[in-house]
Amino acid sequence: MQALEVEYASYNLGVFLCTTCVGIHRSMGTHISQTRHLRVDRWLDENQIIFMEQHGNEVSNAHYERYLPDCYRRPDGCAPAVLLEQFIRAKYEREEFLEPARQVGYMASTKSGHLMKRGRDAAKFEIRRFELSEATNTLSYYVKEGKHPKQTMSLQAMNVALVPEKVNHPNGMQITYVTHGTIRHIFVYHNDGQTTIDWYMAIRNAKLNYLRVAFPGHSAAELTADLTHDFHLEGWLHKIGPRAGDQYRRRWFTLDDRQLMYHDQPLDPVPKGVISIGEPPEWAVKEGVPPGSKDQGFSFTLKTPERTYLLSAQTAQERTNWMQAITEVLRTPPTPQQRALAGSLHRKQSSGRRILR
Amino acid sequence: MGLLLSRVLESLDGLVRTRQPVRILLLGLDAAGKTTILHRLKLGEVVTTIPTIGFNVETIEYRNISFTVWDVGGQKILRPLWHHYFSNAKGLIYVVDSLDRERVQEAADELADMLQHDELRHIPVVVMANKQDMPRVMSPSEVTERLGMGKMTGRPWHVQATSATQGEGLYEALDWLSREISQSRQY
Repeated sequence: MQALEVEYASYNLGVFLCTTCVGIHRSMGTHISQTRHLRVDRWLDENQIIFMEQHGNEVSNAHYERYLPDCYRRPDGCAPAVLLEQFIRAKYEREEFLEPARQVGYMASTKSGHLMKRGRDAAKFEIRRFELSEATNTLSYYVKEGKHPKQTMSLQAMNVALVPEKVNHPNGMQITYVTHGTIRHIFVYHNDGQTTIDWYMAIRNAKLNYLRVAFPGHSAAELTADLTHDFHLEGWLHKIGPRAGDQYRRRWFTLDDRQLMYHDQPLDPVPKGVISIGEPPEWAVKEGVPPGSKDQGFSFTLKTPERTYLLSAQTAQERTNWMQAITEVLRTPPTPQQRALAGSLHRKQSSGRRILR
Repeated sequence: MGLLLSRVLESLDGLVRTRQPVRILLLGLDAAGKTTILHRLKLGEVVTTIPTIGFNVETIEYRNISFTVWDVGGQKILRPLWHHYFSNAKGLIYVVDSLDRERVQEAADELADMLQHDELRHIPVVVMANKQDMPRVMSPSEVTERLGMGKMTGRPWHVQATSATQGEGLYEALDWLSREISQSRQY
């Protein structure tokens, strides 16, 4: 008998909770949230039942999320654990959405602070100062204080994804940005979950404020739809080169929005290549490989106007997952911004770290 | 520390030789921190737990003793099931949420009821006054008083301040428990 997916309630906050969220509520302590199972616990106090009747999630959220900022990614139950926990703590423990003054961690137009950043070549995380500026629409980091920033990254095509498994830290984040047609990744975390999520939201907020200026007529919902996104899918695939005699090689693939990137290793700072996924019929995905091609494992073919890619998964299930994820992207036409990004990217990114040096 | 260690090892000599798993109950009201304690002892990490509907059981090797720790869900409707786990228990860890003043009387009542059971007659009880890292909690002496420990006779008992998330006090409680268990074995 293990824990089941059952429903709970917090009888002092007046909200109904799933099993995941009730765990977080309990960890905050009974001075914040008093939780109880709807069936396994007894509800003897009539006042608690009346309170629940009068509240419920909609009414309670209207209060506790009164000043939820537009940039804030409100997580669902499948969101990365750090985001879910910090949202719940922000909402009830720190009561950040009751008082805009409590949102300085991510709503200010500049932000400065330290994060652990993975070195580009040495696989070691080191402390670096980061600076976010709305005025210049950039995120920079410094290796030495008082010197020029080591890197200044444009927020425009920047994405931040929460990638705990990949970074092997519960607060691990991957920041992807574009510079001169090249995609770069940096990997960061902070030991404190709140600080990590503050940075995540601060980048979203700066991006949103830029978009507000750029697209004045658009609603907040339209502008926030794509501030950041988690990856559709990541994992190992084998890919064969275009020349006769080429062999299948193992690559780490990431489907990031409409970009299918491949890398030697999951934490590489630069992808080896990027395939921008457009629309059918020029782009198409098909099981197996064309007749006469070298076949291996659970293969599938991705057709693009420039080249046909032969890819191979380790299992039938993985192949299905990849084909479904790519089909899903193919199904939606690209937005003007996605077209612009695809047009600006070099297909061949780099053959390793050489070019960066 | 070294002195304490050698003293514990000495007193545990009887157990060390037998290497029998020692059955320990980990009980308390819901959300007291039982599962967090169990994970902390087993894995040394803090995990966000979900309410236990049913039980968790782990073997914890400590000071060369093998403890089988039974963490049973503490929701009200589950408490009548606790007695199914009583037989052959050698010790009880009773976890109290030091923050939850509203329910400390309920915690006291459940403990008193449970200790009426024949199967738990002489076993040592260690109360973990948990969540001591939180603000404005009841002190261990307040917990001692509110649980009415002073009136408890016929068994050794001890109240230990703990914080499962910080990992404080847990091993001290195990140390006390293992000393008591090994002494009772000599009779």
